[in-house]
Amino acid sequence: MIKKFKKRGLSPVITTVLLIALVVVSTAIVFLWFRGMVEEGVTKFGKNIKLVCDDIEFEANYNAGELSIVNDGNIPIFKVNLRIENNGNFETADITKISGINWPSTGLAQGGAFSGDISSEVGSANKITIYPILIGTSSNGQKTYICGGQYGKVLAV
Amino acid sequence: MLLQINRNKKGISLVISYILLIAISIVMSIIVYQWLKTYVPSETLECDEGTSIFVRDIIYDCTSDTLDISVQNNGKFSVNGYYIRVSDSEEGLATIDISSKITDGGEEYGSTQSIMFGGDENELVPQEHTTSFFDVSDYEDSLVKIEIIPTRVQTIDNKKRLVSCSEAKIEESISCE
Repeated sequence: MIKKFKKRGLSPVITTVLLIALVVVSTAIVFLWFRGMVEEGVTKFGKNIKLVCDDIEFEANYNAGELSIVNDGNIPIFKVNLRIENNGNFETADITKISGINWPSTGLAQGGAFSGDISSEVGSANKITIYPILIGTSSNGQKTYICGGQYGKVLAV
Repeated sequence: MLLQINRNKKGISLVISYILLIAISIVMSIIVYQWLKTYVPSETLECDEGTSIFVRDIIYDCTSDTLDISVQNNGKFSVNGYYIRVSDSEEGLATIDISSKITDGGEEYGSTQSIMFGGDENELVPQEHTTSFFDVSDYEDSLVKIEIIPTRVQTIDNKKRLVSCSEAKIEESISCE
């Protein structure tokens, strides 16, 4: 008994197109999944913003409720975060959100200086740490980055 | 029983498989390159080492509310000008910018809050000195401290940039005559 099969399957052109489409779609899926796991890259002056933190140079001083910050370096400081410590407890404050503070809207450019009364925020705290915040560019537009850890400047109150 | 199965043994053509492989490799390389490139340290915006100025004279007249500052370039490189800030308190940092108060011996450099001696070049060559005059009548309290940071114009990535020379910062106490 001879069985007759229809031996023609999919044409080579359709298989090739299918294969390419599959590869493209699966690559896109893997890429989108992987991108969600990788931290978004923020750059400033063409460098990763984490490296730019190394180039920040600023001085800060706290005296009688008055906080003074001077940007001596060449990296503009967009704003600063204050970590206010009181006997082991601490709170973090964004300097632009403290009432009565007139922080420049574009940040502290090179050579720029700031002085303002933060006594209402500091209260009876015994230590303030100042962390500079930079603004950089990412694929989703401008994004801020806090230069934390070693880049903080500690001021005794 | 004779079962004849005629299979088409040709898979994807060799040329297309090569093209796919090379295209995927190139795209992946570009993505990885763009990502890694940002982690490579590039030229840092900083003054040339050996840039230095010193204050020759300061004349602070509280009667006429004028401040005359003479600086000399004692470094190896020419400088463009300086950032100048004063304070009316011994405590704390000098945060009052007086670059807009200059009356002679330089001009404010755009909106940079710095003084430039001449044009958009490093005009003050080594061993030369210059005097700038400021009107400080807006400040009620006497000024007691002055901070000066020299600046240079440097070409970085084919662009002229104003660079702050924080390593050459000067702090001086001042008092009325």
